[in-house]
Amino acid sequence: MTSPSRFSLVAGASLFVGCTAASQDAAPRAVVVERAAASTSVDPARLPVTGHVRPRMKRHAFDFFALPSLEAASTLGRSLKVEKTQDESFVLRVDDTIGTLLGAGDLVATPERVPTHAGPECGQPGPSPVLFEGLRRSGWSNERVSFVEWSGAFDRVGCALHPSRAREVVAEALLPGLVYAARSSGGGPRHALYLLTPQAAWYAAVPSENHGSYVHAGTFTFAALALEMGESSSISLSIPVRALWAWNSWRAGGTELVDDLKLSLEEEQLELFVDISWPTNATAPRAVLLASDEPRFAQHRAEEKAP
Amino acid sequence: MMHRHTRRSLSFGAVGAILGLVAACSGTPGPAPTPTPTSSPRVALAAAPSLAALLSASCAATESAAAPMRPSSRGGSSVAVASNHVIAADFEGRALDVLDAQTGARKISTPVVGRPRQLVALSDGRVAVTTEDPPAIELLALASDGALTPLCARGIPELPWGIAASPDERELVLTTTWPARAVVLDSASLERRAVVPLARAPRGVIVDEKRVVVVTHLVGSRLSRFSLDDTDTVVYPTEIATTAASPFAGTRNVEVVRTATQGYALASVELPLATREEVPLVRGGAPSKAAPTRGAPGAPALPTVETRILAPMVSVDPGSDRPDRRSNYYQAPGDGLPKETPVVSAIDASTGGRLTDRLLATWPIGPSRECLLPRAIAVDEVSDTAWVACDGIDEVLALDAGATEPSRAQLLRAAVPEGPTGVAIDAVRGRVIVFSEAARAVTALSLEEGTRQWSTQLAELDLESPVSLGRKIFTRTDNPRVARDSVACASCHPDGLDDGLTWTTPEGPRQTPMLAGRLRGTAPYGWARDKPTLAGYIESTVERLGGTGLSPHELEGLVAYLESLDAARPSASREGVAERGRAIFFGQGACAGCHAGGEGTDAKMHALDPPRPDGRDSAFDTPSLRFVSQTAPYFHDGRYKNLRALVNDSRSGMGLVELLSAADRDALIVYLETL
Repeated sequence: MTSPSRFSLVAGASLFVGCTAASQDAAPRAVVVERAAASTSVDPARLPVTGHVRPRMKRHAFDFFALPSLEAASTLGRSLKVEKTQDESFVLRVDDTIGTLLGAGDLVATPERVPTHAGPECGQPGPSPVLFEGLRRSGWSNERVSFVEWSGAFDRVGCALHPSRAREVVAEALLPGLVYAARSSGGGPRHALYLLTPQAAWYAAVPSENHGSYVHAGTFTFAALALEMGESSSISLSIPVRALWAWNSWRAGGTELVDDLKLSLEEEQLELFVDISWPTNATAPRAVLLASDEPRFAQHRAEEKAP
Repeated sequence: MMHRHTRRSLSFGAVGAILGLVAACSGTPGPAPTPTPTSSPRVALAAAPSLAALLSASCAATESAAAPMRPSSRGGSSVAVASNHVIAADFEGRALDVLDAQTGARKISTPVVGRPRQLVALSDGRVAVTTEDPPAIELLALASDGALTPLCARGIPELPWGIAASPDERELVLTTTWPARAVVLDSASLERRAVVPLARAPRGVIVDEKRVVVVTHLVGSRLSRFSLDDTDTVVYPTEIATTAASPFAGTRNVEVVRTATQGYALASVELPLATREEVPLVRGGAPSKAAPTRGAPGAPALPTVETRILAPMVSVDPGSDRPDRRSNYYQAPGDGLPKETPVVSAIDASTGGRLTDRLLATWPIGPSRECLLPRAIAVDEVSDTAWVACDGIDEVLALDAGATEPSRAQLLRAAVPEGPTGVAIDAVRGRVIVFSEAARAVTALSLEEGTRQWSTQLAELDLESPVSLGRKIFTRTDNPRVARDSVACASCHPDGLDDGLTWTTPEGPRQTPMLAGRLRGTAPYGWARDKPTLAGYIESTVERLGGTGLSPHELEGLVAYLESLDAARPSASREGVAERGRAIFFGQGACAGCHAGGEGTDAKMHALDPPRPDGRDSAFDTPSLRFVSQTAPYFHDGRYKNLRALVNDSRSGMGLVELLSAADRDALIVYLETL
C-alpha cells in the first residue's frame, strides 16, 4: 500500500493543502547512543536504550453486527466552493463539518483503492473525481458522531466540489470520545468495519486476503477494514496527544487544525490495535479493540486542552 | 540435533551428587518493582537415581500419588503446575524442584537421571520428564506433600527435548533434536509405539483433542503435524513464513516472503465462536433464507468453539542477492519491518492453515524491547490470554490469544529473572508461573495485573562471573553495544546453535555457523580466516552490526561464555555403517586432508569455485565438521540444503567423493552424522 496524500480542512475555517504523507512525518530518526565507556554491565536499567516499548493495552471486544451501518444519504450536499486565500491556502466552506478532501487528482479514493495523488488543481482544465469525508460537530458526543462521505466531481475550472453520491452514518463509540465505528450495509459477502479516530501519526494495516483495506490519516483517521467469512484484518494506529487535543477542540466547536508536519512519534501516543477475524463456522466476526493507557487519555479529554 | 548447550562453568554438579543448592523460601505476596528472587536456607538433597536402576522398574502410578491432580497443561514446558505444587525442571541442577504454588516455598529438590529439559504432569499423579546427559525419559510419582518418587526411566537413543501427553494420557510424545523425530511412547510402560521422522530441529510439541500432534522447529519456518492414529503416512509441514503489510513497509518489504526461526514452543487455545442467531451461516454472511441458522429448528449441530494453535517465533528477512535488495546482515532496514520481528503465528487447528500470513510493520523508530527470543507459551483459557516468556528482555508478555497476530495485541508485560524458558498457568490461584533457567528461579505473577506474587531462587549463582556476564551479552536483544537494531548474538545463534539461514552481506551470501562446541581449536575465525582470535572476530561482528562496541571486560565475558558452550549428543549409534563411512572419510574419500581428524580443520583457505569475475576472493575457511549433520545448509553460501546434496554434487570439490559409489556415499553420510 501507499500512504495517501490528502487535504486537511476544518469546516468554516481553512482548507490547507497538505500533501505530506504521514509516513514522512514518521520517518525514523537517528537514535544517538553514547558509547558506554568502561561499562561492564548489561543491566537493562543501565542500557542506553532509547527505543520504543510496546505499551500495555486494554481489551474491548465489540459486536460487529451491532454497529450502525453506513448507508446512502437521502440528500446530497450542496456544491462546495474552494477559495484561495491571500496566504495561498485553500478554503472549503462546509457548515458544521470537519473533514478531508481526497483525490482531486488522478484517482478516486474508495475502500478498494488508495489515492496516490491529490491536489485541488484549481484553474486546470477538466473535472477530477473527488471524495470528501467529514465529521459533523453537531451532536458529537462521547457515545456517537455523524460521519458523512460525499463523492463526485471536482470542477477544476470553477474550483468546486459537486457531490453526486453521499453516504452517512451515526457511528458509535468503541472507546468513548476517542474511537468510533460503523460497518458496511451488507448485501454481499463482503463486509467492512469503518473506524474513526483522531489523526494518527503512524499506522499499519493488514488487509484481508481478498478485499484489502483503506486508511487515510488526514484531519482525522478513517479506516476501512474489509473482510468476509474465513478472513481477517487488523490495523495498528499511533495517535499523538497533539492530535487528540485538536480532535477535542473540534468537538467543543473549535476550529484548530493539527499541523500534521509537527506530528511526532516522539511525543505521547495513544496506541490502538483493532483486529477482526471471521472463522468459517461463526455467524459473526470476532472483533476486538485494544487501547493503551486509556485513563491517561481520558484525562486529556477531560481537560479539553488545545494545542 | 543438538539441543540446549551445557554450560560447563555454571554446572553445579555431576550425576549422583548435587551439592550446595539452596532450599525453599516463601516470597511475600504482592507486587514488587524488580524481579529479584528470594533465596532460602540450604537443604539436604537425595542422591540422583541412576538410569540403570530405573530401567526395569514399574512405571505405574503409586497409591500415594497426589491423584487426581489438576495439571495445568498436557503440553510440556520447563515448569508445570499440578494441584498445589509448582514443578520446575532445573537443567543446571539436574533435578526437579517442587514448590508450594501458593507461597513459592521450596519443598524438595529431586534429582533425576539427567539434565531435565521439559516435563509434563499427568492427572494420575505422575510426572514425565525428558533429560539429556544421558538422553532419557523418566517418570516420577508426585505425592500430595510434594515429594517426587522416581518410578521408572528409559534411555532414548535420540536426543529428547519436548514432551506432551495425548488427551487420554495413554501416550507421551517426545520431540528429539538429533535425529529430528517425534517419538510416541506408551505412558504406562514407556515402550515405543511409533517414530516419526521430522524436519530439522524440532522443539515444542502439543497433542490436541483430536490426537493431532503439532511440533515447532527451531529453524526452517514451519510447524509439523501428524495424527497419533496415522503416524506412518503423513508428516506435513505448515509453512509459517509471512509477508509484510504496511504502508510504511515499502514496496520491497511488502513483496518479501520472510522466514521464521526461534520456534521453541506452542500452545492451543479454544475461542468461543461469535454467534448471532439472526445471521445466516453462508460464506460472506449474505442474507439467505435457505441458509442454516444457528439454533434454528433442524439446523445441524455447529461447533461452538474454534481451536487455534499459537506459535511464538521470530519473522526474519535475511536479505536477498537481488540487486534491488539490501544487505540485511550488516544493516538495519531504514523502513518497514526490521530484519527480525516478533510474531505469534496463529494456526487454524482444524485445517493447519495460517491465520497470520502478513505482518504489521513495527514501530519505526530505533531499537525496541521486542520479544525476539521467545522460549515458552501458555494460555489462560479463562481470559483467552497467551503468556509468552521472552529471553533477551527477561519478560513475559500477556497477549490477546484471539487476535490474528497476537504479538501486536499486548495486554501486559512483566519482568522476570534472567533467561525465562518455561511458563505455566495456575488457574486456581490466578497466576502465571515462570521458570528462568539462567537465573534458576521460579516466579509467580498475577494473571490480572502481572504483579509479582513470589519469586524463589533454586540455587546460588555467581552472577559476576565472566560466563554469567557473557550470557547476558549473548542474549540481550536490547543492547546497542552489540547491534543497533535490537538483535542479539542469540538471534542468529539460538543456544549457540545456528538459525539455518544464509544471510546477504556485502561480501556475498554467508551461512550462519554453529558455535556451541565448535570454537576451540578452530582459529583463526570467519569464513575468510582473517581474525586470529575469537575476541577480534566478535569485535568485527559487532562493528558490522552497528553496535557501539564492547568493553574489554565484556569481550572477555562473551568469549568465556562462548567457549563454555557445548552441545549434547544422542546415544544412538549405527556403528557398523559408521565405521565403514569413517574408513572412507580417512581413505578413498580423501576428506581428512582438509578436515583433519574428522572434526578438525587444516586451518587453511580453499578455493572450491572457479575464480569470480568480480575479482572477489573465492577461497574460504575449512570449517569444523563437529555436529555437521545439525548445521544445514552447507558451504559458506548455504548452497547445499543437506549433506546428501553436498556429497552427491560432483562440483562440490569435496576430496574424492565424486568417485565414490552410491553405497559408499551413504556410509560416508552416516559417519558424518556421528560427528
